[in-house]
Amino acid sequence: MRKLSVRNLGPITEADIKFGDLTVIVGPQASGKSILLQTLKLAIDRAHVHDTFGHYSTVFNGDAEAFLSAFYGRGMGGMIKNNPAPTIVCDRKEMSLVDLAKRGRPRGKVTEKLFYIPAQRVVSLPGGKTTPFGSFEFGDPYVLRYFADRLHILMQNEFASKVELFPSNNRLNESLRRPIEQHFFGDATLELKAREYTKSLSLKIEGLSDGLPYLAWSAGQREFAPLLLGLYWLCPAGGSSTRDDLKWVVVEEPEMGLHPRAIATTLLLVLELMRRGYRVVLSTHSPVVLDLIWAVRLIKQHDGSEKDILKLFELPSNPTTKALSARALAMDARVYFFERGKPVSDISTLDPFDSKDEIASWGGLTAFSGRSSEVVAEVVARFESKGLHS
Amino acid sequence: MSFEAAATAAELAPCPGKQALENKYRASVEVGGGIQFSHSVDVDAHFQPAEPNSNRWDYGLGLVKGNTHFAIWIEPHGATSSREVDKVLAKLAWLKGKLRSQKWSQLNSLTSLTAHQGVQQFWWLVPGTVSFRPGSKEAQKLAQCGMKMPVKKVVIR
Repeated sequence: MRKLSVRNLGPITEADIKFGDLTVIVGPQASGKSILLQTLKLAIDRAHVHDTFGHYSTVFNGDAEAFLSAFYGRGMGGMIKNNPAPTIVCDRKEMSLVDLAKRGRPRGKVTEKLFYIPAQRVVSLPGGKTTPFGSFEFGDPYVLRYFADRLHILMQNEFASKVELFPSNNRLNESLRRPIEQHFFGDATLELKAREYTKSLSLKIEGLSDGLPYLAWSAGQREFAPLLLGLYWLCPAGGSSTRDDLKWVVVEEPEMGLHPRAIATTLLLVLELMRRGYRVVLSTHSPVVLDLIWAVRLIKQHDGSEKDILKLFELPSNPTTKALSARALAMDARVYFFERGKPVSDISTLDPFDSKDEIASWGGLTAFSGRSSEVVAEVVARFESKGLHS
Repeated sequence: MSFEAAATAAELAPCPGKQALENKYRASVEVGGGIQFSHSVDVDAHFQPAEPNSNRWDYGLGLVKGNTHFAIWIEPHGATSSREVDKVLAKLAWLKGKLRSQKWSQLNSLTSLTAHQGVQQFWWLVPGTVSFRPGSKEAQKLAQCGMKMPVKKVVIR
């Protein structure tokens, strides 16, 4: 799929999204970003989603509203009654929400194509323990339940006999592990350790014999842990660069709870996903994410090179980091701005001089900081002009 | 007091309208809303022989609205690296030094009147790409010295 168009879906009146190698969506709360991303998931993996519900003994008996409430979240099935009716066009194929609520009859084997790392990911590890799909309730969003379930499977299978989760020699290149150590874990080791006969995540820290339990971690560490495990799922150990038939990755708000330096590290991991061949879609409230797209665009326009990308990320030059830089320079990145009750706009140029405010202010992400500079400039000029005059 | 008289008092060489500006920059400066150009000065060219190594500001422009005369100052300068911010701020400091001098006191008064008109006094005109964004450290440095982000066109209404 290259293009997704939706009309009258929740708060979205009109959206035409053409996906690049990296697509970023921005916009205020409740402007429809998550609904669009979940609709992308459903449009791409419809049969797989239906089969997963079936696998966990959830039956809808043709009740489209119930299915949509199970998928998007309790009560969201009511969108089906919107007037005018929601429409969804994937490339050129038009469908309704009712169509998406049916499994359909896909040709060939049903496999998952899009992996979704939801904004509520921290909920997937309550107390540092993994949570299988069936432990959630009806009406908890599918993308959260399924993500939590994949982490559960990862821990049960690939890390069943291992204690150390990070650093782990067979997961992620050393050039990527180092910034993660630096910005997230310091000298601590992320472990999966049995406490009171139950395995849970813990940070092994020198001098703390029992390790630091999950709830004592910093908010950023708690946010990053499920993101890291999601990346482990996407970047399997061994020779394979991608997981099964997955082609797309959606990450909601990768910046959640993180310092800008740590956000830059997560962007490096996004580049790694792209280097491995995934198409990545992000939603964000952080200008740091758009800084990357803006910087890469200007670097490319002015004949910059891989060296400039390495400098941007403060990375040493080695084959891995050069490959990441090359991927960044080759990427086709797009940015869309969502605003409640208005058509979604393409703000990919991120040109601070554009006459359209949503482009110049990066969908409002730089609006306040930009305005603070403007106001300070005016006040300083006014003050100095009094001094000059006297 | 007109810009022409103030510039003459400062021993500068005022030209009618925008004529002191190099031809390629003239289209990048626009007025409207009853404002008109009066005279302009090429400050950089004037001080080049006497201060070849100073960070000289480029242009001054006199404007008139009704009976009110005021002045703006324009520096066409690339912004392809954040180092250029420091250069432009050095030029601004140089210009402010001149405005504080006795000879420039009338130009100083016209510049103060610009702020009272709600018009930005000092403009950084950028013909090409700007390599920093609103809200960045560079934008903050400019703001602290009373300057806003560079513009591709100076429009005063």
